[in-house]
Amino acid sequence: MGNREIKIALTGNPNVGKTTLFNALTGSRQHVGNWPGVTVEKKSGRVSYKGYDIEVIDLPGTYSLTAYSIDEIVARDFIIEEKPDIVIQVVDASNLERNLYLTTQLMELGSQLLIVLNMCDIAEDRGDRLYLDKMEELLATPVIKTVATQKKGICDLLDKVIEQKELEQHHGHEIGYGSEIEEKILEIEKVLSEDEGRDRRYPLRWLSIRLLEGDSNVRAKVAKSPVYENVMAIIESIDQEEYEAEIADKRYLAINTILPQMCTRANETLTKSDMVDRVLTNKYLGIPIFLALMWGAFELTFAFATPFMDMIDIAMSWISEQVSSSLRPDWLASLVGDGIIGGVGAVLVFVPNIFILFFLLSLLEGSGYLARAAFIMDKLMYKIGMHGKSFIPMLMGFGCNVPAIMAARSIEDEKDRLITILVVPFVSCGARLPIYILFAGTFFGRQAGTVIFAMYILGILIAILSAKLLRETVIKGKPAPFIMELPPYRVPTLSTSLIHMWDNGFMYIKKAGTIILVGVVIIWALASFPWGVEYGSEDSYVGILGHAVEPLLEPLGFDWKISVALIFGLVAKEIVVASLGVLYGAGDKSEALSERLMADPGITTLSSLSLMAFSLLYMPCVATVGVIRKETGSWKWTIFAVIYGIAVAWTMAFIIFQGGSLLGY
Amino acid sequence: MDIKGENVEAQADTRIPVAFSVVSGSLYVLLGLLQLLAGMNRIFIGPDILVPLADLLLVPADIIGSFVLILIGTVFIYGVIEMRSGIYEGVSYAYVGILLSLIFAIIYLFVSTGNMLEAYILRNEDFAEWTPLSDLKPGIYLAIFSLFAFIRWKDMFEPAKAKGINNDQRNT
Ligand SMILES: Nc1nc2c(ncn2[C@@H]2O[C@H](COP(=O)(O)OP(=O)(O)O)[C@@H](O)[C@H]2O)c(=O)[nH]1
Ligand SMILES: [Mg+2]
Repeated sequence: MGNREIKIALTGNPNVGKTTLFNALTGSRQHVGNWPGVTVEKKSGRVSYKGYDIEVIDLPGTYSLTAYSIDEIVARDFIIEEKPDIVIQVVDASNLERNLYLTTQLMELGSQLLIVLNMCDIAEDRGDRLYLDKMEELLATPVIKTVATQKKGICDLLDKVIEQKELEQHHGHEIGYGSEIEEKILEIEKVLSEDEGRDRRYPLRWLSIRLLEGDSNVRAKVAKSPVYENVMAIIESIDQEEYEAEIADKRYLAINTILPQMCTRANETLTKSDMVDRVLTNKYLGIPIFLALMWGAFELTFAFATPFMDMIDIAMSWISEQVSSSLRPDWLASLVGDGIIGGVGAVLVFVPNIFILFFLLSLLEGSGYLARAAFIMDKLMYKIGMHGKSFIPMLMGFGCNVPAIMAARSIEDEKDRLITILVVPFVSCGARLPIYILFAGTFFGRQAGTVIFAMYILGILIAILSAKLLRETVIKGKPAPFIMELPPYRVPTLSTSLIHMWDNGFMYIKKAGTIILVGVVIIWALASFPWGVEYGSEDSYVGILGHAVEPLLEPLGFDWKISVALIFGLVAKEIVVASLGVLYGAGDKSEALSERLMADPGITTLSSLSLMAFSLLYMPCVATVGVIRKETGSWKWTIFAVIYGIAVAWTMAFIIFQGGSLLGY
Repeated sequence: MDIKGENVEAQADTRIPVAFSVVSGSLYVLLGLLQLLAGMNRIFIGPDILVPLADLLLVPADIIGSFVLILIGTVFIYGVIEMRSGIYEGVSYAYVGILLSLIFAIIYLFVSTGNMLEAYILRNEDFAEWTPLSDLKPGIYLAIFSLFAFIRWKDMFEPAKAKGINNDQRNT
């Protein structure tokens, strides 16, 4: 018996259930989202089965392997260069014709292919019929049926993988492109094969076809070859665009001939999904419905969480009281009571909101609604100079900006992508929510849900307007056209939503115990020294620091305490709330933070509004800055993002505060 | 309705969804307008002068909530217009209108549960006068019709169409 290690790669169109299958195979919990483009990097996991050690790699979803975007290149290079033993194409059984184009390209890559027909439940419920043996015969690859969400067919799949691996040899089918093109393919293959030092991982036929199709990535790969000149001579002798179109035509022709033999579709009836789409993507009603649902989500995030917040708050006050009355010496009591419990506690109070927010976002995403939202916005976005796909990273940014910026990789055009990366930080993430809840809850009472909703809308508006500004000044050009596939509506699975909620909520708690804890201790120390000053007074180091920047922030309505909180909030936005917890910590422990803020004459309803807007916009947190640097690969744009953010935030807060004051608020 | 030869049978009956949408849609729009009025009244005139009927119908002075009601009503009415002009797909609006009204009713019920916890468990002073009736509003009670329609959707709204496999013999 041979090697007991098998490496398999999962490929397929976006949103066909690759990640779900990956999770089912390896038992991990990667993020599953009902929209295209969630997996932007390859992820790997392992599974032991019948004595085999199987490594599974989840590649980003692609419609083709034509190297128009980074994720296509990632997927393609992986298959060719890493040579997985078996390449599994996950196919949406309810949408075969969309998926087969990729199959035709995978067949040419020369790797051992295995097709997984996922989502069989949907196809079968609808009454479609799938003829597996016919399919295996026509495509010359094994075909396995699965329902990844219910973990059905996983063992069959693993059995098949082992069987194929033991088979060693394989024989695939390829598309014929007609005599004229085939002749050219042979000609190029011949020239390429003369280069003895060529990279043998690349199948010659595939290279030739890609060159005929004008693939610049492949062209760059052969550019160093001694036969490059000869190859280019052949390519220049033809009408390359015509060939490209002809090749695509031939692929579709092949698909259209084999498709009817492999499956029969049930009678087309008006499905619930069609009905819902008809309304939600309606020209006039689409955007109002989107806004209404978002408002509902934030109303819920605020109002339903309030009693739970209050419970945590009461518990925190109680602990803090116990600590300060029992701990000795006094400085330790102050460190633990005012500093750690006051600061970290202020952040932990918002755990219920964070849980609810992530649960709702996951419902919206899992049902397929957020993908529609991107579709609805496409027209508007195009007018503004942004690519419709950019709206997906923006919506993902509601959770956290870091993965949202990475999701911009699915955008093909470099300029579109850069703009998206630069504006995503304006989208309000979960870390900013505590700031709104604290201040809106304190100063706006029952209207808090609406004020929070307004902040989210403000974030999106600023993002969109900034995109327009960038388009017209520094990053000129037109956005590329947008083809977006609408995933079908699905009833989101409760477990996916709960896992999503738990993972993100837990991350928040973990952050409170690490980076925020450190921040809080530093702030406490700065508030307590130099030795002998009154805790948190203007003579302490924080007081001095706060007063140093106060002149800059005073026109926005912020006093020195707020200024200090904002400075430390540069690290992570939760720290704004935590530092207020520390700075307002001294005194009677039975009062909640909100009551103390209310009692401080330095903060008014208007300045709290200005503060919320400023915190929303002022600078991406350190993690986001890092990912901007990584994704743009340029310090110039990273610094630009930071400075631009601060400028926008200052201006916006200035307008709110000074404008509001003029109006007499 | 114009009847053209063979199309007689293909033309699905939309009388029930139309009737339902007309009633539901106008109720939502009317109560939405009333709520808008109550909200404006609260801001511009003050809480002393009451909008007639608002109290009786449990309409709160909440402007954003009124937009939601009007929006749901508009979705229903939009469907009526499509169905009246012979587009069967107009039933989609009735369906989505029903879904939206249920979704918002659920949201309001959750909010109300939160308030209940405040009032009865935490005994928060701000909620001292809270009773379950304080949160009952059009967004909740109008959804009862929708709930009924949602449960009976299959019998009431869907035309009896032949279902099955297309071209079965062609490929086997
Ligand atoms: N009904 C059904 N839904 C599925 C199945 N597999 C995945 N899904 C859903 O399809 C959506 C996309 O899944 P995901 O794994 O993120 O797709 P990927 O983009 O290919 O990685 C999610 O909402 C899944 O819950 C399946 O077999 N049946
Ligand atoms: Mg994925």
